[in-house]
Amino acid sequence: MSLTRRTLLAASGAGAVAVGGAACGSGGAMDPSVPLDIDVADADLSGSIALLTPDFVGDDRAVLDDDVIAPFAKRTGVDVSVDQVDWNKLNEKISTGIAGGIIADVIMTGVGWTQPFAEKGIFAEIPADFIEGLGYDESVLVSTRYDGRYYSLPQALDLRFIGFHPELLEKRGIDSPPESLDELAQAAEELTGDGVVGLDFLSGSAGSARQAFVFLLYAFGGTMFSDDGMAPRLHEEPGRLALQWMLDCMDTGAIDYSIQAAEGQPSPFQQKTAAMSLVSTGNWPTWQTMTPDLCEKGAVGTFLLPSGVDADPVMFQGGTFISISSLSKNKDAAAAFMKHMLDPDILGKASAATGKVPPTPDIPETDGIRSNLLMTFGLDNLPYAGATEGGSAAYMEVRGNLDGIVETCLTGRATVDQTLADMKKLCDGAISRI
Amino acid sequence: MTTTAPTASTGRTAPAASPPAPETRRRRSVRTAEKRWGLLLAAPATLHTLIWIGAPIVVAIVLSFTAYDIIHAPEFSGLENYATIFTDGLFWLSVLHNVIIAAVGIPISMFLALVFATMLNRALPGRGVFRVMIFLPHITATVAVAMIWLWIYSPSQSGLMNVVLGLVGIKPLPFLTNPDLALGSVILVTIWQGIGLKMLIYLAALQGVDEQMYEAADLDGANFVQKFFRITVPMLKPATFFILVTSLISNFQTFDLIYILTEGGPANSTSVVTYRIYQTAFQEFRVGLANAQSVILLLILVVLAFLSRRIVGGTDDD
Repeated sequence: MSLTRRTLLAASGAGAVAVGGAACGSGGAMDPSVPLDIDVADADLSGSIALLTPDFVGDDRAVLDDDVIAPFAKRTGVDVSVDQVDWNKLNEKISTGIAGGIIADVIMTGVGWTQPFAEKGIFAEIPADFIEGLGYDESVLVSTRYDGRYYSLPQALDLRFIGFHPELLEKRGIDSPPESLDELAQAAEELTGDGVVGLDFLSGSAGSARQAFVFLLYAFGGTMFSDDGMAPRLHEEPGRLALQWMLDCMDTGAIDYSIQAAEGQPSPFQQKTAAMSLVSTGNWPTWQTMTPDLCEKGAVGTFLLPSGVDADPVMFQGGTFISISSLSKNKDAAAAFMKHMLDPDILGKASAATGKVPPTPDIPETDGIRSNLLMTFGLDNLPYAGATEGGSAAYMEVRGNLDGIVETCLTGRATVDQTLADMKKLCDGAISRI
Repeated sequence: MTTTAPTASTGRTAPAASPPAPETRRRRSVRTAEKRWGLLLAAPATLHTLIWIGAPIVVAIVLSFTAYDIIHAPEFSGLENYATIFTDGLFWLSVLHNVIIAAVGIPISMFLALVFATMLNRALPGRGVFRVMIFLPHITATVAVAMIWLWIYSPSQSGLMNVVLGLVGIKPLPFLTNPDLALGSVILVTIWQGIGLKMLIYLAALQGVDEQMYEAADLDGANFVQKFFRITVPMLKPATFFILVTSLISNFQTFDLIYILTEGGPANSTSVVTYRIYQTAFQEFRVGLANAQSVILLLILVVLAFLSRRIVGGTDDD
């Protein structure tokens, strides 16, 4: 048989369609309609499930394997395999997993992730009566809902506020924490000099430029999106004030965009080259390992980010949320594992390892938790944890690009007006595709 | 005996078809067998090209006309993705970065590769060691290369580059976190990594340059520079064209280096096309748009290959 050009084209076309069909077919396999049964008895569970988590890295992995998974596997006979991925690769991991038809049964994500993945039908709905029975504070449940239904539960909170070196403040005659953003800017300027930057707001030790902006946005009374998530709000006046505040501080040298902590090296705050810094509760294990002197009582002071509009101070709420994949073939076991992860005893063990704050204070108190000054401060101020990312089903489309837009402004490559317009355009485009 | 028949045009008689002589039959049979062997030998490469290159290109073109978010089935959207690309400033900024990396990095690395190849083509002591040292970055996994350069560029005083700068009294520089320095820092890595293969190709090409031409030039009193520009460079034109085209293509395929070194930042100052496509597909879930971007990238590469052929003046023999 001779191979003519037409035959060749037909064959390659057919091959392409077959490959395309296979590629697109993964979407058709999902069945989000199967409801989640949260009360299946242990004896009725079997098989295996996969857990996708960005937490429990390094030495913490042993805690996950030995103290979290092993008791569950022993009790139920369900085998749990763990797929670990960096936070900044988690989104891609989920999307490539879906494209390849291999998605974990239990997925741990962050604040702001629930609505987008729920809207796309990736997360299974969690029964409201189960969640309401846990007695969690409303402030930690806001990010778990989409369209009035629950699709995730907080497993650990990473709360952010300002840390300071008391002796550096005393040296400059500052004897009390600032009570407004103006005062904070003033104090940061006074603390700057002699190789010390007043406020480390952008080095990445406590998040990204995007998160720093969002934190300030809330401090100036703004939000990222409207209540229904269908209109951007971050480009409005509070957003302008937030960007301008950072730029003004950079003008005086009080915030230095270029100071960065090298990978695996202590942050500028740990090295005392920053007098004040955004810190997160998750920093504690790092401090214990690298700069234990900071963990002694009185070594570091903390205060909430003051308001820019004469209102309550705010705390940034990041964290790890746990969801069940709607594609899971073993939803009963996945739901049982989620319940297990939220058991106060397990939460306490996980919290001691990761340094993150459990979503409920009802955990057994241990020496490790009691001595964690950042966690204690975070728990004491939980009602102020109102600054959160997300709030729209379009957020995952916005998230990555927002970093670049904020950085473009902070590096002088775009004006505040251009930046706000870019933010609005980005959000409008993403929302229009919902 | 042979029969004849009149031809249509002339009315003259033409020799009638006769059974081929045994010798001709044998020759045809050999030719048919050769064709079969040729097709058989070419089949693996042809199949590979059709399945792994041809089919994905067709799929990409088809998907580029759809709105597809991985989760839901693709929906035909006409030219919407292409219209989006033309208003996507970040995509064109990424193209610009590729162009800058190519415009700065490729000429420098080609020049250095040619210099090294010319030097190491001579009987120098230890030239084998030098050849291996220069070629080593090419065969090292890009991920490993990126990790090494992350350490070299480390913003603290423990980074090699800043240690060296510190010796001459310069404060540590944020090579990868300052938008004004980041792209230049990335270009330096691409140059360092790219010299080895280019040098190897030039070395092979230099082996083919006839020594008698240099001897004739020596007799004419030509100096080293004259010989280099009048003999070596023209004789290496096919190799130069090959290196230029492959470098351009691989430059526009750069992904892993950016993914590990900078993730396109800061302030999108190092975003390149492939990284932007990756972001669009796997961070923003806009697979249809990402495919349209890939089609544009394919067109850019075809145009660049054509242009470089014209600029370097490649011949059919290249």
